[in-house]
Amino acid sequence: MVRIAGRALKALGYEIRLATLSLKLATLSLKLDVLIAGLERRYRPDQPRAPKGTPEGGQWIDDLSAIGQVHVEPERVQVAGPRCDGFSGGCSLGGSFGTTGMYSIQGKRLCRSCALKILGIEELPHIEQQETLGRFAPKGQQ
Amino acid sequence: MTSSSQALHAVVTGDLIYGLRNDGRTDLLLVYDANASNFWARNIPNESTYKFGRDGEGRRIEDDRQCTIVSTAALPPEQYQVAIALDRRMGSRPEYPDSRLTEDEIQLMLTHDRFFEERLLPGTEALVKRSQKLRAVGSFLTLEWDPFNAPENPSSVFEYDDYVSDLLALLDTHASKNEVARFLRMIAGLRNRPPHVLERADAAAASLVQLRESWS
Repeated sequence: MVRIAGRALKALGYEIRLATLSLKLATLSLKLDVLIAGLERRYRPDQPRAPKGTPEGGQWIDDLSAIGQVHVEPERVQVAGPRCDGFSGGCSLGGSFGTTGMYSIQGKRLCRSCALKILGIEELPHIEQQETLGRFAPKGQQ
Repeated sequence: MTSSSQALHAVVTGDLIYGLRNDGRTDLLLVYDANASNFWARNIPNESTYKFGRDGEGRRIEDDRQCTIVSTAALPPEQYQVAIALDRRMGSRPEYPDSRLTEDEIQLMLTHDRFFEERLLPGTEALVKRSQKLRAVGSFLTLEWDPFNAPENPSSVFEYDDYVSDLLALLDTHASKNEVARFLRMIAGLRNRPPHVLERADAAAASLVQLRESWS
Protein backbone atom coordinates (compact mmCIF):
# COMPACT_ATOMS: atom_id res chain seq x y z
CA MET A 1 0.00 0.00 0.00
CA VAL A 2 2.76 2.34 1.01
CA ARG A 3 4.67 1.34 -2.14
CA ILE A 4 1.68 2.22 -4.33
CA ALA A 5 1.36 5.60 -2.69
CA GLY A 6 5.08 6.26 -3.21
CA ARG A 7 4.81 5.46 -6.94
CA ALA A 8 1.82 7.78 -7.30
CA LEU A 9 3.70 10.62 -5.60
CA LYS A 10 6.72 10.05 -7.87
CA ALA A 11 4.48 10.16 -10.99
CA LEU A 12 2.91 13.41 -9.76
CA GLY A 13 6.39 14.91 -9.29
CA TYR A 14 7.32 14.05 -12.90
CA GLU A 15 4.10 15.65 -14.17
CA ILE A 16 4.77 18.82 -12.23
CA ARG A 17 8.33 19.01 -13.57
CA LEU A 18 7.05 18.46 -17.13
CA ALA A 19 4.44 21.19 -16.75
CA THR A 20 7.09 23.60 -15.44
CA LEU A 21 9.37 22.82 -18.37
CA SER A 22 6.63 23.39 -20.96
CA LEU A 23 5.73 26.67 -19.25
CA LYS A 24 9.40 27.79 -19.44
CA LEU A 25 9.47 26.83 -23.12
CA ALA A 26 6.31 28.86 -23.82
CA THR A 27 7.81 31.89 -22.02
CA LEU A 28 11.06 31.60 -24.02
CA SER A 29 9.10 31.34 -27.26
CA LEU A 30 7.11 34.45 -26.38
CA LYS A 31 10.30 36.41 -25.55
CA LEU A 32 11.77 35.37 -28.91
CA ASP A 33 8.65 36.60 -30.72
CA VAL A 34 8.90 39.96 -28.97
CA LEU A 35 12.60 40.27 -29.87
CA ILE A 36 11.93 39.47 -33.53
CA ALA A 37 9.06 41.94 -33.67
CA GLY A 38 11.33 44.58 -32.14
CA LEU A 39 14.05 43.95 -34.70
CA GLU A 40 11.49 44.13 -37.50
CA ARG A 41 10.29 47.46 -36.15
CA ARG A 42 13.83 48.84 -35.90
CA TYR A 43 14.66 48.06 -39.46
CA ARG A 44 12.35 48.34 -42.43
CA PRO A 45 14.07 48.52 -45.83
CA ASP A 46 11.22 50.62 -47.19
CA GLN A 47 10.98 53.07 -44.26
CA PRO A 48 11.39 56.65 -45.55
CA ARG A 49 14.06 59.07 -44.34
CA ALA A 50 13.74 62.81 -43.96
CA PRO A 51 15.12 64.62 -47.02
CA LYS A 52 18.31 66.74 -46.98
CA GLY A 53 17.91 70.37 -46.04
CA THR A 54 15.29 69.74 -43.39
CA PRO A 55 16.04 69.85 -39.66
CA GLU A 56 15.41 66.09 -39.46
CA GLY A 57 17.46 65.34 -42.63
CA GLY A 58 18.53 61.66 -42.89
CA GLN A 59 16.55 60.43 -39.94
CA TRP A 60 13.96 57.68 -40.14
CA ILE A 61 10.47 59.05 -40.27
CA ASP A 62 7.00 57.55 -40.26
CA ASP A 63 5.51 59.73 -42.94
CA LEU A 64 7.17 61.99 -45.53
CA SER A 65 4.28 64.42 -45.53
CA ALA A 66 4.96 65.21 -41.88
CA ILE A 67 8.34 66.85 -42.65
CA GLY A 68 8.48 70.61 -42.19
CA GLN A 69 4.93 70.78 -40.95
CA VAL A 70 4.26 73.08 -38.03
CA HIS A 71 1.72 71.92 -35.51
CA VAL A 72 -0.87 74.65 -35.08
CA GLU A 73 -3.21 74.64 -32.11
CA PRO A 74 -6.79 75.06 -33.33
CA GLU A 75 -8.39 78.33 -32.30
CA ARG A 76 -10.23 77.86 -29.06
CA VAL A 77 -13.93 78.49 -29.16
CA GLN A 78 -15.22 80.02 -25.99
CA VAL A 79 -18.41 78.41 -24.83
CA ALA A 80 -19.63 80.68 -22.09
CA GLY A 81 -22.62 80.35 -19.87
CA PRO A 82 -24.92 77.54 -18.90
CA ARG A 83 -26.81 75.24 -21.24
CA CYS A 84 -29.82 76.54 -23.11
CA ASP A 85 -33.05 75.39 -21.47
CA GLY A 86 -34.62 75.15 -24.91
CA PHE A 87 -38.36 74.82 -25.48
CA SER A 88 -40.63 72.83 -27.73
CA GLY A 89 -39.73 74.12 -31.18
CA GLY A 90 -36.37 75.48 -30.03
CA CYS A 91 -32.96 73.83 -29.92
CA SER A 92 -32.62 70.49 -28.19
CA LEU A 93 -28.84 70.31 -27.76
CA GLY A 94 -28.29 72.83 -25.00
CA GLY A 95 -27.45 75.69 -27.36
CA SER A 96 -26.85 76.49 -31.00
CA PHE A 97 -23.26 76.08 -32.17
CA GLY A 98 -20.89 78.34 -30.28
CA THR A 99 -23.54 79.83 -28.03
CA THR A 100 -25.15 78.71 -24.81
CA GLY A 101 -27.84 80.01 -22.49
CA MET A 102 -26.67 83.62 -22.56
CA TYR A 103 -30.14 85.18 -22.62
CA SER A 104 -32.67 84.98 -19.83
CA ILE A 105 -36.13 85.51 -21.26
CA GLN A 106 -39.49 84.76 -19.69
CA GLY A 107 -37.84 82.74 -16.96
CA LYS A 108 -35.87 80.57 -19.38
CA ARG A 109 -32.15 80.51 -20.12
CA LEU A 110 -31.87 80.54 -23.86
CA CYS A 111 -29.22 80.52 -26.55
CA ARG A 112 -29.35 83.24 -29.18
CA SER A 113 -31.33 81.28 -31.75
CA CYS A 114 -33.90 80.14 -29.16
CA ALA A 115 -34.18 83.69 -27.77
CA LEU A 116 -34.89 85.03 -31.24
CA LYS A 117 -37.35 82.25 -31.97
CA ILE A 118 -39.32 82.41 -28.73
CA LEU A 119 -39.94 86.11 -29.37
CA GLY A 120 -40.62 85.51 -33.07
CA ILE A 121 -38.01 88.05 -34.18
CA GLU A 122 -35.73 85.84 -36.31
CA GLU A 123 -36.53 87.83 -39.45
CA LEU A 124 -35.84 91.29 -38.04
CA PRO A 125 -32.65 93.15 -39.07
CA HIS A 126 -29.80 92.48 -36.64
CA ILE A 127 -29.90 95.93 -35.08
CA GLU A 128 -33.60 95.47 -34.26
CA GLN A 129 -32.99 91.95 -32.95
CA GLN A 130 -30.34 93.35 -30.65
CA GLU A 131 -32.58 96.15 -29.44
CA THR A 132 -35.50 93.82 -28.77
CA LEU A 133 -33.40 91.15 -27.03
CA GLY A 134 -31.89 93.84 -24.81
CA ARG A 135 -35.35 94.82 -23.58
CA PHE A 136 -36.65 91.35 -22.84
CA ALA A 137 -33.67 89.94 -21.02
CA PRO A 138 -34.39 90.86 -17.43
CA LYS A 139 -32.22 93.12 -15.38
CA GLY A 140 -30.65 94.23 -18.59
CA GLN A 141 -28.62 91.78 -18.11
CA GLN A 142 -26.92 92.29 -14.79
CA MET B 1 -45.37 123.48 -19.80
CA THR B 2 -45.93 121.21 -16.80
CA SER B 3 -42.98 121.27 -14.45
CA SER B 4 -41.10 118.08 -13.76
CA SER B 5 -42.27 117.99 -10.17
CA GLN B 6 -45.93 118.48 -11.11
CA ALA B 7 -45.73 115.74 -13.72
CA LEU B 8 -44.17 113.28 -11.30
CA HIS B 9 -46.73 114.05 -8.58
CA ALA B 10 -49.49 113.41 -11.12
CA VAL B 11 -48.33 109.82 -11.82
CA VAL B 12 -51.10 107.32 -10.98
CA THR B 13 -51.64 103.59 -11.22
CA GLY B 14 -52.04 102.54 -14.84
CA ASP B 15 -49.70 105.19 -16.27
CA LEU B 16 -46.97 104.24 -18.70
CA ILE B 17 -43.75 106.07 -17.94
CA TYR B 18 -40.20 106.01 -19.21
CA GLY B 19 -36.99 105.67 -17.20
CA LEU B 20 -33.24 105.57 -17.76
CA ARG B 21 -30.68 103.54 -15.90
CA ASN B 22 -27.09 104.57 -15.17
CA ASP B 23 -25.82 102.21 -17.85
CA GLY B 24 -27.94 104.00 -20.46
CA ARG B 25 -30.55 101.25 -20.74
CA THR B 26 -34.16 102.28 -20.86
CA ASP B 27 -37.28 101.06 -19.09
CA LEU B 28 -40.84 101.15 -20.40
CA LEU B 29 -42.73 101.04 -17.12
CA LEU B 30 -46.32 100.42 -16.12
CA VAL B 31 -47.26 101.94 -12.77
CA TYR B 32 -49.06 99.29 -10.72
CA ASP B 33 -49.34 101.06 -7.37
CA ALA B 34 -49.00 104.62 -6.12
CA ASN B 35 -49.44 106.75 -3.00
CA ALA B 36 -48.64 110.34 -2.05
CA SER B 37 -44.90 109.80 -1.67
CA ASN B 38 -44.06 106.79 -3.88
CA PHE B 39 -45.11 104.79 -6.88
CA TRP B 40 -44.23 101.29 -8.00
CA ALA B 41 -43.80 100.24 -11.60
CA ARG B 42 -42.74 97.22 -13.62
CA ASN B 43 -40.76 96.98 -16.82
CA ILE B 44 -43.24 95.62 -19.37
CA PRO B 45 -40.98 93.38 -21.48
CA ASN B 46 -38.96 91.82 -18.66
CA GLU B 47 -41.19 92.31 -15.60
CA SER B 48 -38.49 93.65 -13.28
CA THR B 49 -40.00 96.00 -10.67
CA TYR B 50 -39.06 99.41 -9.31
CA LYS B 51 -39.97 101.65 -6.42
CA PHE B 52 -39.81 105.40 -7.15
CA GLY B 53 -40.00 108.49 -5.04
CA ARG B 54 -42.08 111.39 -6.29
CA ASP B 55 -38.81 113.03 -7.37
CA GLY B 56 -38.59 110.41 -10.13
CA GLU B 57 -35.59 108.61 -8.64
CA GLY B 58 -36.03 104.91 -8.05
CA ARG B 59 -34.38 101.58 -7.44
CA ARG B 60 -34.99 98.21 -8.96
CA ILE B 61 -36.39 95.99 -6.24
CA GLU B 62 -34.50 92.88 -7.44
CA ASP B 63 -30.98 94.35 -7.34
CA ASP B 64 -31.20 97.98 -6.15
CA ARG B 65 -30.08 99.40 -9.51
CA GLN B 66 -30.90 103.03 -10.01
CA CYS B 67 -33.45 104.35 -12.51
CA THR B 68 -34.61 107.91 -13.21
CA ILE B 69 -37.95 108.81 -14.76
CA VAL B 70 -37.34 111.16 -17.69
CA SER B 71 -40.77 111.16 -19.33
CA THR B 72 -44.35 110.70 -18.25
CA ALA B 73 -45.87 111.66 -21.62
CA ALA B 74 -49.02 109.76 -22.54
CA LEU B 75 -48.58 107.26 -25.36
CA PRO B 76 -51.20 107.40 -28.14
CA PRO B 77 -54.22 105.26 -27.06
CA GLU B 78 -53.60 102.46 -29.58
CA GLN B 79 -49.97 102.09 -28.46
CA TYR B 80 -51.04 102.23 -24.84
CA GLN B 81 -53.39 99.30 -25.48
CA VAL B 82 -50.61 97.34 -27.16
CA ALA B 83 -48.38 97.95 -24.13
CA ILE B 84 -51.06 96.87 -21.66
CA ALA B 85 -51.80 93.71 -23.66
CA LEU B 86 -48.06 92.90 -23.79
CA ASP B 87 -47.77 93.39 -20.03
CA ARG B 88 -50.61 90.93 -19.43
CA ARG B 89 -49.14 88.42 -21.86
CA MET B 90 -45.65 88.57 -20.36
CA GLY B 91 -47.16 88.18 -16.89
CA SER B 92 -48.78 84.92 -17.93
CA ARG B 93 -45.40 83.46 -19.03
CA PRO B 94 -46.70 82.28 -22.40
CA GLU B 95 -45.32 79.14 -23.99
CA TYR B 96 -44.02 79.12 -27.55
CA PRO B 97 -45.62 79.93 -30.04
CA ASP B 98 -47.83 82.24 -27.93
CA SER B 99 -44.63 83.92 -26.73
CA ARG B 100 -43.97 85.41 -30.18
CA LEU B 101 -44.37 89.16 -30.41
CA THR B 102 -46.99 90.67 -32.69
CA GLU B 103 -45.99 93.26 -35.27
CA ASP B 104 -47.56 95.99 -33.12
CA GLU B 105 -45.57 94.85 -30.09
CA ILE B 106 -42.33 94.84 -32.07
CA GLN B 107 -43.12 98.34 -33.32
CA LEU B 108 -43.78 99.48 -29.77
CA MET B 109 -40.46 98.02 -28.60
CA LEU B 110 -38.56 99.72 -31.40
CA THR B 111 -40.21 103.13 -31.38
CA HIS B 112 -41.16 104.07 -27.82
CA ASP B 113 -37.66 105.37 -26.98
CA ARG B 114 -38.00 108.02 -29.63
CA PHE B 115 -41.55 108.92 -28.58
CA PHE B 116 -40.59 109.52 -24.95
CA GLU B 117 -37.21 111.13 -25.66
CA GLU B 118 -38.97 113.75 -27.75
CA ARG B 119 -41.24 114.52 -24.77
CA LEU B 120 -38.88 114.81 -21.81
CA LEU B 121 -39.45 116.12 -18.33
CA PRO B 122 -37.66 119.47 -17.98
CA GLY B 123 -34.10 119.14 -16.68
CA THR B 124 -33.49 115.60 -17.90
CA GLU B 125 -31.95 116.44 -21.29
CA ALA B 126 -28.31 115.89 -20.25
CA LEU B 127 -29.16 112.50 -18.74
CA VAL B 128 -30.90 111.46 -21.94
CA LYS B 129 -28.01 112.67 -24.09
CA ARG B 130 -25.58 110.58 -22.07
CA SER B 131 -27.87 107.58 -22.33
CA GLN B 132 -28.04 107.97 -26.11
CA LYS B 133 -24.24 108.06 -26.31
CA LEU B 134 -23.94 104.96 -24.13
CA ARG B 135 -26.42 103.11 -26.33
CA ALA B 136 -24.61 104.20 -29.49
CA VAL B 137 -21.23 102.99 -28.16
CA GLY B 138 -22.75 99.74 -26.83
CA SER B 139 -24.47 99.02 -30.13
CA PHE B 140 -21.27 99.67 -32.03
CA LEU B 141 -19.37 97.18 -29.89
CA THR B 142 -21.83 94.31 -30.28
CA LEU B 143 -23.00 95.00 -33.82
CA GLU B 144 -19.85 96.18 -35.58
CA TRP B 145 -16.75 95.27 -33.61
CA ASP B 146 -17.67 91.92 -31.99
CA PRO B 147 -21.04 91.04 -33.53
CA PHE B 148 -23.57 89.21 -31.39
CA ASN B 149 -24.86 87.57 -34.57
CA ALA B 150 -21.49 86.15 -35.68
CA PRO B 151 -21.89 82.56 -36.92
CA GLU B 152 -19.23 81.26 -34.52
CA ASN B 153 -18.36 82.36 -31.01
CA PRO B 154 -20.70 85.37 -31.05
CA SER B 155 -20.69 87.94 -28.29
CA SER B 156 -23.78 88.41 -26.16
CA VAL B 157 -25.74 91.63 -26.67
CA PHE B 158 -24.68 92.33 -23.07
CA GLU B 159 -21.02 91.35 -23.56
CA TYR B 160 -19.51 94.78 -22.93
CA ASP B 161 -22.19 96.38 -20.73
CA ASP B 162 -19.80 96.71 -17.81
CA TYR B 163 -17.23 98.62 -19.88
CA VAL B 164 -19.37 100.96 -22.01
CA SER B 165 -19.49 103.80 -19.49
CA ASP B 166 -15.69 103.66 -19.01
CA LEU B 167 -15.23 103.66 -22.77
CA LEU B 168 -17.54 106.67 -23.10
CA ALA B 169 -15.60 108.45 -20.34
CA LEU B 170 -12.38 107.73 -22.26
CA LEU B 171 -13.87 109.07 -25.48
CA ASP B 172 -15.05 112.18 -23.63
CA THR B 173 -11.45 112.92 -22.59
CA HIS B 174 -10.60 113.19 -26.30
CA ALA B 175 -8.46 110.07 -26.12
CA SER B 176 -6.49 109.24 -29.26
CA LYS B 177 -7.33 106.40 -31.61
CA ASN B 178 -4.44 104.37 -30.19
CA GLU B 179 -5.62 104.83 -26.62
CA VAL B 180 -9.13 103.73 -27.57
CA ALA B 181 -7.71 100.71 -29.44
CA ARG B 182 -5.67 99.76 -26.37
CA PHE B 183 -8.81 99.93 -24.23
CA LEU B 184 -10.71 97.75 -26.71
CA ARG B 185 -7.96 95.13 -26.71
CA MET B 186 -7.99 95.13 -22.94
CA ILE B 187 -11.73 94.54 -22.63
CA ALA B 188 -11.68 91.87 -25.34
CA GLY B 189 -8.94 90.15 -23.36
CA LEU B 190 -10.91 90.41 -20.13
CA ARG B 191 -13.92 88.88 -21.86
CA ASN B 192 -11.74 86.14 -23.36
CA ARG B 193 -12.83 86.99 -26.87
CA PRO B 194 -11.17 85.27 -29.86
CA PRO B 195 -8.05 86.77 -31.55
CA HIS B 196 -9.89 88.12 -34.60
CA VAL B 197 -11.82 90.50 -32.31
CA LEU B 198 -8.57 91.95 -30.95
CA GLU B 199 -7.23 92.29 -34.49
CA ARG B 200 -10.13 94.56 -35.37
CA ALA B 201 -9.47 96.90 -32.43
CA ASP B 202 -7.64 99.56 -34.48
CA ALA B 203 -10.40 99.84 -37.07
CA ALA B 204 -13.05 99.88 -34.33
CA ALA B 205 -11.20 102.62 -32.46
CA ALA B 206 -11.11 104.75 -35.61
CA SER B 207 -14.90 104.34 -35.98
CA LEU B 208 -15.49 105.24 -32.32
CA VAL B 209 -13.37 108.38 -32.64
CA GLN B 210 -15.42 109.28 -35.72
CA LEU B 211 -18.63 108.68 -33.73
CA ARG B 212 -17.35 111.04 -31.02
CA GLU B 213 -16.75 113.76 -33.63
CA SER B 214 -20.40 113.44 -34.68
CA TRP B 215 -21.55 114.32 -31.14
CA SER B 216 -19.86 117.69 -30.98
